[in-house]
Amino acid sequence: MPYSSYKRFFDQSRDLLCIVSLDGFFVDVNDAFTRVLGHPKSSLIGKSIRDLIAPQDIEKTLQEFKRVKHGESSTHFENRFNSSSGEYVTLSWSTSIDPESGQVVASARDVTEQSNHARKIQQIEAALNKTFILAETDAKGIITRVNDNFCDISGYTKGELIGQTHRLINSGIHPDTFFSEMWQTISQKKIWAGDITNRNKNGELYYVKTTIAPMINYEGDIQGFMAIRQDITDQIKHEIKLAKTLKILNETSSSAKIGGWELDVNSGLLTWTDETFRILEVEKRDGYHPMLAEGISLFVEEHTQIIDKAVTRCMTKGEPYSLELKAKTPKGNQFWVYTTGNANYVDGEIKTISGTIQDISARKTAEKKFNLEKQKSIQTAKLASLGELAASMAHEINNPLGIISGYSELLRSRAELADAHEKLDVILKSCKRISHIVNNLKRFSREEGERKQGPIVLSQVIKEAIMLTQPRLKRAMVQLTFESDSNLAILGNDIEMEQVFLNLINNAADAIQDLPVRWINIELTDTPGLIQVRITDSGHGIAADVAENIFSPFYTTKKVGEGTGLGLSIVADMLKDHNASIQYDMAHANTSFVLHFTPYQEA
Amino acid sequence: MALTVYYLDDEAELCDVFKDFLNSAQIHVTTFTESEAAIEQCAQNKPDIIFIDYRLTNTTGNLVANVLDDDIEKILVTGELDLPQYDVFSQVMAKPYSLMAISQMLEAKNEHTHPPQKGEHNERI
Repeated sequence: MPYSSYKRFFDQSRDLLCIVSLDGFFVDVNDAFTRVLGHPKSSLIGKSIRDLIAPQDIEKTLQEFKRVKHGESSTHFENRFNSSSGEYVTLSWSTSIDPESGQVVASARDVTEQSNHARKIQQIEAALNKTFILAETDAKGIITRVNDNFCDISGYTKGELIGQTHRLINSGIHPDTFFSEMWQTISQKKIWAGDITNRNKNGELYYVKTTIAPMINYEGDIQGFMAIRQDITDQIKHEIKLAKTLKILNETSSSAKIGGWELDVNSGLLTWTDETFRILEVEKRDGYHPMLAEGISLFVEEHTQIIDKAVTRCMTKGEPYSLELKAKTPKGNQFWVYTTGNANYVDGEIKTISGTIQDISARKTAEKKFNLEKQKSIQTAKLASLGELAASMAHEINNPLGIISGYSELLRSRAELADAHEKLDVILKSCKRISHIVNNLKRFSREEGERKQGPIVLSQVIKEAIMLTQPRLKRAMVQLTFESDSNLAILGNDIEMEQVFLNLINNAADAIQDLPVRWINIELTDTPGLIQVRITDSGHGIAADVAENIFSPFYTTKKVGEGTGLGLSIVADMLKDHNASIQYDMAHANTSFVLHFTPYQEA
Repeated sequence: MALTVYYLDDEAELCDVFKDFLNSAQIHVTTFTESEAAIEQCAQNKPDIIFIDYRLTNTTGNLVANVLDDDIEKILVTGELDLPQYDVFSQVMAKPYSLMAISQMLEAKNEHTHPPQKGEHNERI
């Protein structure tokens, strides 16, 4: 073959071809050489190959070159050459000595990509080996290869594992269908992933997150399977422990009626525990997270502002709170709850607030009962003291009272004093009242014998009470109106009934004393089977929370020393004794009490 | 005949008003503030009825009543709240009592004890 043909063959080759002198200088390079490395041919001819080799590869290249000089041929030798772009190109060489010219002839291929790829695979495999539990099987599932992690976790040596199937580590926990479904998947050349519980050589369970991939050959047949597993034993044990703890916590919460909640500050979404749903009687649905506004609406109107403010301050300023509030459920039930809230910080910012909610209705009821009993006990003790005092004072009061009433009676019997009879009657009646009051005080200390009962004309009793309070009302510039010619009577004790109206009129006068407009109006209306007396004053009503307690013993809104709080409780008690009732009328624009009596019917 | 009524009470004013109100031709009222005087008078001139206050200066009404003759009707008057019950008294009256009621009671008793003779009539002085 003529030289020109060889020359054309040299230049057209896609491989990198070059001729190098025995002392290592380029004699000739082909076009592929200059194209791959980017250096012009002119700059390469006469240049030492050493100048282009990566410093780390020089030594091994020189060794290989030495071998070639000694007549040995070199194949698949790889080193890296510096390209004109500054990046290294990995070349795979075939080199020999041309016996005619005594020069080194070499051809090379650019294997940079394959080399990088192979290295990457090597690194991945090393990483997998270090992190995961690896095993390979043949198409029948016989283990052909395992890594050290497999041996460590299973407790078996490689020798014990290879040649066996995975039945060796079967825990027996999974049903047969579990593995048959797995085999079905991988037999269809699909990847299977799932968590498997295995048993090690010592009989202990361990848990692995497993991915099994079929290995397919060129023909598309399954050659075997590769299993990549991750030890999740700690995680599973932790989850089991957590589940147990949660179960205990849930049971405890349920017993204690304590629910938990968390609010995501950014989204306004609430997360509730089961007990919170139960306490607030909200239906739990999958993935349902109430919004903050919805949560706040589950409190009674007068408490929504309180909880809203507390939550806002907790969200914005991190202020914790603990409140006793009245909840109002979607079912319409109202009861007391104790709720707390605390801010949770992430990187110095409040991300969530969380807390508890507890149904304390039973405690509240007990507290109320306890307070009532306590109040009753205090009242009983106080009244008993009052009764004892009254008993000891009675003799000292009744004797002079006897003198007053005696002389009044004496004067009343004188016809010549007819013009004073009316006044003397008032004195006599007042004496009777004083005596009755003293007797009534004693009544508090213990039940006395039967009270004197008889038909009482209500309008008359009211008029007498007005007469007694008139001087006081006049001083306080209170206008009292009462007009009734009703003769309807009730059965009861006239003095006690008079005390009822005295108390109510005095209370009304006290309540309106500082108002610019001061009036009291008493209305008596009768319908078949019912007598109604309405006592209204110019006051602007009583706050709901106060109205709830006004008939409780010792409850007073008066200043210390101004009221005992016995007034309305005694009124209610006396009315009860007369088969009558008293109610505060919340709907009235002014302060208004309504009394209901059963008319007396003569047998 | 008139009814002889004694009234024993350490409150002089009560004695006065009792007598002022009740003393009449038909009811002769004598009052005492000292128990000894009342007991002595009862022994000398037995009354038809005696009203005795419970809490006296040095004693109590029931002790006085116990030394009086059984055939004298005895009524206890008292300002105490817990009205004592003693068999020796025919009744117990709470102070302040109604003189009018006592008057009516005494008149009734007088009519029963001394029915009016022909030509007699009640007259209050």
